[in-house]
Amino acid sequence: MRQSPFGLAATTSAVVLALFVLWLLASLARLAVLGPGRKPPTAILVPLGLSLASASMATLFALMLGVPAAWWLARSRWGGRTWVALLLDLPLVLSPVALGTALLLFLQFPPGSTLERLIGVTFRFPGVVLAQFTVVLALVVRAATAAFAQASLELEKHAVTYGATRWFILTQVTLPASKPGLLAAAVLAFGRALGEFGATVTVAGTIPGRTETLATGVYMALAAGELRLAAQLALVLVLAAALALAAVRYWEKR
Amino acid sequence: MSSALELQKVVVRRGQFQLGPIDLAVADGEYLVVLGPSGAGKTVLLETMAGWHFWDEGEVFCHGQPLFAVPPRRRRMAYLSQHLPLLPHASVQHNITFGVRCRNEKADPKLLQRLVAMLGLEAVWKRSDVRTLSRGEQQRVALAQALLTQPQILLLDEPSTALDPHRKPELWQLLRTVHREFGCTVVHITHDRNEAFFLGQRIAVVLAGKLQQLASPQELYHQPATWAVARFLSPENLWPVANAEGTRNGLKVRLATVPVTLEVWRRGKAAFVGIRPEEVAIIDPHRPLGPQVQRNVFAASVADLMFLDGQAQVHMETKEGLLVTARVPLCTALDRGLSVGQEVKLCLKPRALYLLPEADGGS
Repeated sequence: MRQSPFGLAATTSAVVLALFVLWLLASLARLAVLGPGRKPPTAILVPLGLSLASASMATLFALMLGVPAAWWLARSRWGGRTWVALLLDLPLVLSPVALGTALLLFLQFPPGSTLERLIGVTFRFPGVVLAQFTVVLALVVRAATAAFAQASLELEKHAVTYGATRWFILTQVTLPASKPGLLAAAVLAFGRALGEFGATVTVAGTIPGRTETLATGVYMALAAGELRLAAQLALVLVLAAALALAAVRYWEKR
Repeated sequence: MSSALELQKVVVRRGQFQLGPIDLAVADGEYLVVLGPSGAGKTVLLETMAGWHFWDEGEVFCHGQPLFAVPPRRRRMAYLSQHLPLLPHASVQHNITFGVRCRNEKADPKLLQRLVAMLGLEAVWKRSDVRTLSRGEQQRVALAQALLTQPQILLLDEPSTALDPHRKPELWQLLRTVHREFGCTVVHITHDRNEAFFLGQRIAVVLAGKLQQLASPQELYHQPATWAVARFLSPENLWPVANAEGTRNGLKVRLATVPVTLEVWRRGKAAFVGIRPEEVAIIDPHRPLGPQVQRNVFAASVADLMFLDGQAQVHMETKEGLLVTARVPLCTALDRGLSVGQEVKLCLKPRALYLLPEADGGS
């Protein structure tokens, strides 16, 4: 079948872009295997463990706070709802460094200073979690709102007509119906938290073994001229992101 | 007889659209069909009965108490909307027991068994995903779900809309059986006149947000209350009346548009006179005239002929210029060898002619 010039241009652009990404990955892989300066496995495993721990906690907190907020956004008919949604969306488009700066300032004065005094956030592991949580919260709220909006409001009304309690409706109707969307939100948030750099480095710095994550580790390795380590860390990030995307696609199809 | 549901002067406004004011009482154990075209407000009416939204004026009563004063659990109501209350991803069994689980009750195993058999769900009973069922099967699963809760009131929103035409009578028969065996009150909305006449003990005709007529199917067939109802049920054979004078049996009405006078065996306000196409007789020239077809007999010619499923629709024009539509059994049309241009004699049976008051909203 003959393609139109536009179709040909579109196909070419898709193929060229895909090749570009493949080229980037291949460069990383080549450097990660053949690059100079072999490091012990702990150079990767320590930031990986720290990243996994902080991203898991940030995702968990974001889900705990974001999912109820998303439910409210999806179900509320209050006029001011759109303004609240706008505020919650803001971190999505804000520069992570700006967000990190705002967090740092927040921790200097009450009530943030109380948090700082109680658990010690700045340049410590809780700071990593807080930075990642702030960045991914908007993502969770947005994705979960969409999931709740797609879940059948009518099914909830039927349950009310039968005489179901609110708890039953939430646990047996709303959450199961929104499960694929919520799982996708969780995975997206986890993937985003894993790769978070700007806010994390501003609030928690990059102290090896304490606050250095995969993403900040890549930057530090690059700055120190350790290209092989930088490539290896970046490849781990790529792998995690690919897994997260595959999981999201899988749940979106269900 | 007490009312399972009662609407007193209920008005519901949705933007520019207004439903009501409506007064309607549904008796305990009754099968009421609400009939009307799309956009008439039928679903709004049913959702109001289900308590899905507030009304602007009036009051809705459930078992004699204001609807919202009765907790949903105690209303014992089940509502099958057009979006069936089925849990996607869940199994057939899980969906059938959804209603009772909502009520925090256990499913009665005997009733469950009976419903599965009655609704023909044995073959799909073990399906793990309800979405793999056909629409008709899903409809029956939803019906089983509702009936398992042993509802006193069953609300049905166009249950046969998404079914193939040949599957509809199956569902109608099933609903009739369900109503007879379970004895619950049913309010069923539809735009399908056949469905309404098949199922309804009473039919409420709702047009443009107004309850136009509430009557038995027979009454509705023989005497539509308004011009709008008559137009909706059967738009053919409605003629404006010039004047009417009383006779021993009823009225003699002179039509306004053609020089025709009809004998009508009814009395009442006569702005329009009409007759159902099924009541128009095409006289068999080889048979003696029965007593019911000796008046209002006209010579006419067949202007058009359409063969429907089991029926023939015959458009005729009398010598006086009166256009008349008849629907006769297909075998009758074939036996008589009816064809376009053929000269026939037709009779507008005086007992079947109905009178209508002034047109409401235009003629």
